[in-house]
Amino acid sequence: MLEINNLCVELEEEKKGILKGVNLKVGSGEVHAIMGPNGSGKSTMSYVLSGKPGYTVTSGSVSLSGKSILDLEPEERASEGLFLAFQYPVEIPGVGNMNFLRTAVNAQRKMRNETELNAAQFLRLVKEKSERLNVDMDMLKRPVNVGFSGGEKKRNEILQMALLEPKLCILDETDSGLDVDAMKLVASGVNELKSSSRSFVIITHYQRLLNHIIPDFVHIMSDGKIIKSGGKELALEIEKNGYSKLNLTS
Amino acid sequence: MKTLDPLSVSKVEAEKRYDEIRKPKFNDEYWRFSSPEKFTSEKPLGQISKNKEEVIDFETSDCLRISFVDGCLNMKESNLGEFKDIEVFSMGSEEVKKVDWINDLYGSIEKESQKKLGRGLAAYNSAYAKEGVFIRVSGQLKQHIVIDYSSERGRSDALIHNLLRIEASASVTLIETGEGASRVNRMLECDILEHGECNHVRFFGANTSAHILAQCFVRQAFSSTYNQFSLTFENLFARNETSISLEGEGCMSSISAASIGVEGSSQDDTVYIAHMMPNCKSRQVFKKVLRDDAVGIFQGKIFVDPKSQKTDGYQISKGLLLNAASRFLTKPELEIYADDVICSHGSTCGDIDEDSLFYLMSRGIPKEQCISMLTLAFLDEALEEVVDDLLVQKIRGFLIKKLGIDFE
Repeated sequence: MLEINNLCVELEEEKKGILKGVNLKVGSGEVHAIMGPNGSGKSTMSYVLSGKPGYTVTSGSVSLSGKSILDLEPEERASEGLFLAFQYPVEIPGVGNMNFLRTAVNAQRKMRNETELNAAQFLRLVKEKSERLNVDMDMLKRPVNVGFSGGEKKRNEILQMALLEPKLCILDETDSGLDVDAMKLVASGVNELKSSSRSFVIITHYQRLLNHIIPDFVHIMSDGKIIKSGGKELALEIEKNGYSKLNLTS
Repeated sequence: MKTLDPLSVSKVEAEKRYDEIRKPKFNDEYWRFSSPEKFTSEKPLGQISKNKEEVIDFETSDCLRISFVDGCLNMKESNLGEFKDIEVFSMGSEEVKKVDWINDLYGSIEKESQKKLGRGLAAYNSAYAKEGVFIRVSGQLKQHIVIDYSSERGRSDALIHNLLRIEASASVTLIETGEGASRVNRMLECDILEHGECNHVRFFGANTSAHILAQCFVRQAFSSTYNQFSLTFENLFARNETSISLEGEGCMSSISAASIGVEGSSQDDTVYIAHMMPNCKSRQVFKKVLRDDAVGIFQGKIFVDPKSQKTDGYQISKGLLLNAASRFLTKPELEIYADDVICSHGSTCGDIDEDSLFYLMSRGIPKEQCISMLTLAFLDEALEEVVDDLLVQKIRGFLIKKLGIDFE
């Protein structure tokens, strides 16, 4: 599904290296968790994979379902099936959530030469997905993320994920700012979307999220590299001993 | 010797004011950022482009409709029939000479405002306008008054002077729409008595190369409310000049505007709010989207008289620069002579927020579409100031269509 080879990235303006040779393979239907101390490059990796401007890839390659994506624009990567759930979803006053969601769904369908959904078809789809994810329909009538609580914003991200049906979902610290109940709600939404043809990369600081979304693999990132990989027990080890007890030099 | 009627006397007085103040010059401070030449030249310099698709349909089946074509009141297209709690006169009718409130109001708010700032083109309007409607509202009107300004000629000059008097505890929504001529100097003097309310929405047409000077002089009595919202969309030149005098305690005044400028265009908002009594609130919210080499101008002043304690004044102006050649020129001013007041002002400009743009693009939406959505989002803060939800929907719908956003 996703293959990252020796990915090196620096900040465009500062010419400062952030990713220094990341290697990662994510198979279909797998859930990978990426943990690591602050500043280790986890969020940068998610941005670079999604095509955020401001970064220069100095070497390496990234492919999604065998197709190289580094030269694609963010919207093209999205249409290829990549989805990033933001740590801080952006507020867009004046643009209704429903309109935004439908625009996004149809933009991707158009790019993939699929038939666009009309208003009635989309309404049926969004109702069905909202009910399954326990999302209040009232949230859809409001402007995108405006006045949403932290939990609502994250649930809105999961709803977008459900509607866009990506192949690869990257969750960037989705648990940050959530209380235990909100986190459980978001995690159950993610679990609802698991399938053999959809993979997840979950970036998190804490093991607590991984109690609810069980990863197949856990990777530890430090200073721009993945320095240790293992099963879900690695997250427990981090929780117990912290990063300092790990040998963080590769 | 011929005796002049009261309205003619007001006009002669205005002529004298005009002789003293004269037309503004390019180096006048309050025309600091745009040239008054368009309005002082012998002939109109602008041209009108007619496009029926460029309108917002504000009319409803029960509204009171007033139509001006090329600056002249068009009775055929107007609907001044029998409406409860409202009376309307045209300036040209004989009966206006006998109506006291008209003779008391005409030119009076404009004249008073000249003491704080000389506005030659306002005095000129009061002196020489031959067209206008004089409206008195005495109850809480549910139906809107819609004044439509249109043009049938490519080049024409309009000089219009309207009056609106809102009696105690009365309320009305006044909508002015369209440009109306290739050069327009139009004025509204609005007198709001105790507990009265006026919701005033103006749309200066779209994609027009007319030169528009829309002047608005408002006087508010005790506990009255005035809300003004203006929209300009890709107009060559529009200057909104608004002067408000809060003359009773507990007044509320809100002035907001959204504009989108394009190549060669200039959108100018020059606002003066005078707090003359205690416990009044005023808000100014101005949002300007500037494409190509468009220029956005905001000059906003809050004046607080020594006796206006507990004044609450707020002013924000923001420019969204979509091109390196566009400019946002602002001059926010506070002049405060009372010591127990809250007055704040802010002015910012910048380009599209990269994080927001990335967020939308990461959902698969093409960049141009994302920029349009963020433009709409930027203008929304001003749009939110409009109190009538139905009007907000109409204006937002127009912007969505014009910005090419693919919502059905």
